[in-house]
Formats: sequence, C-alpha cells, structure tokens
Amino acid sequence: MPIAFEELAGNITKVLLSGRIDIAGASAIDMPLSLVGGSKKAVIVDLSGVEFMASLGLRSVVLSGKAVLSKGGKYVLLAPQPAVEEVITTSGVDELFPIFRDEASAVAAVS
Amino acid sequence: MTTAPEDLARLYPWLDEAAAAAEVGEPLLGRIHVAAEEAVMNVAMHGIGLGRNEVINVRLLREAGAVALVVEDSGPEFDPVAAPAVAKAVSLDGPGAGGVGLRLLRHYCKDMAYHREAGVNRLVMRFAL
Repeated sequence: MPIAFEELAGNITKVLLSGRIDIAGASAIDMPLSLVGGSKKAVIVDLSGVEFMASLGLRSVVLSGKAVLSKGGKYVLLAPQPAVEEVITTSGVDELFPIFRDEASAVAAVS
Repeated sequence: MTTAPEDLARLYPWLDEAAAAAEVGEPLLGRIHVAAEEAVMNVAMHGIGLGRNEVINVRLLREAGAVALVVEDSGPEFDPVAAPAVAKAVSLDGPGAGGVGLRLLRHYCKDMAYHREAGVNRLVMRFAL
C-alpha cells in the first residue's frame, strides 16, 4: 500500500505516502486520506518516499487537507522529493499546506 | 486505451516504452508522465467518462528539438488551450482541487495546440528536448 499512518504525541497524525502516486496509487490513497480529512485535526503528510505524484494524487491530498483546515485543524507537507515538490509549488498547493523539510518543524507547525 | 481503470493504468509503462524508442530519458520523461496523466484523466473523468469502451489514442513523437505527446478522443469538445487561466493558489473555499491539472499542463509543456475535427479532439503537447 502506498499509504501508512503513525500516531505521534499530541494527537498528531503522520501520513506516510510512498512509491508512485499515479492513477492506481491515487485510487489507493483516496479513501484513507478522505477518512483522515474527516476525523483528524493535526496532520503531517510525509512525502519523502513518493517517487511520482501528479494531479490525481495531489487532488486527494488537497481534498483531505481542505477538510482538516475547514474544521480549524492544521495540515502540512513534509520533505517532498524535488520532482514532487515542483508539482506542489507549480499548482500553488503549498500556499494552503506549507512544506517543511524536517519532522520537528512540521510537528511544531501543527501543534 | 479505453477509460477502464486497468486500461488507464497502462499509460505509464506505455509512455516508458515509447520514450525509450524516442530516446527520451529523465528528467523529461517524468514531466511527460505528469502532463500525460492530466490530459488523459481529464478526458476520462470529464469527457468520455470512466469505465467506458470509447478509445483514447495517445502517441509520442520525436520532432526537431522537441517531443510531442498527442492525445485524441471522441468525447465532448474541450479546448484546454483556450480554457481561462486559473489563479495559482488553491483556495480553501473554492471547489475541489481548484484547477490544479490545467496549471500543471501549462507549466510542463513548452506549448500546446488543440484542434477538433470530425468529432475528434486532438491535443498536442510539446516538450523541449
């Protein structure tokens, strides 16, 4: 599965995405991310293991993040690889969900 | 390919083979993957519809100084080249993902051309070598 979860101290949920979030990958993460969006209020999406992501995968991330933000929560992105970061910044998604390089900064941002 | 999910997933390995034949490697291949996914899924989700037997034709052509990705379909007319520009930032209040795909297409392609003839949409996306 290209998605896994870790519960961190302070009720922070870390979502670990990995591999290729392409058509099949986006289909696999869509429902779990939707559940995160509907139930969590402090979320870090770790993208360090993602080799490829385009608009389909990004759409799942955005919809999940918007659900968290809409109920007053916090949702940030962690350590995307350069090609994935280009997709994120080109689309402007980082203006809604900031990117952090290290986990400590991401944790501080959602605490 | 049709818009059946298992067929759509063949897009990337097919692109890899076509790119190898056209002597196109990374990092350009990764950019072609991003644009191809957007163009094909736009047709599948908003044009023909998912899970249909109508065919989307995809070709990769080597040109002088560029690579052209051609996507043809017989769905409803849609010209992404003429579609209005969208604001860069994704809005919390706006619908869905807010035009992310169109922004990506315009960023990754050197140029795009659209033509509709005899009920067929033809989108040509060019990438600089």
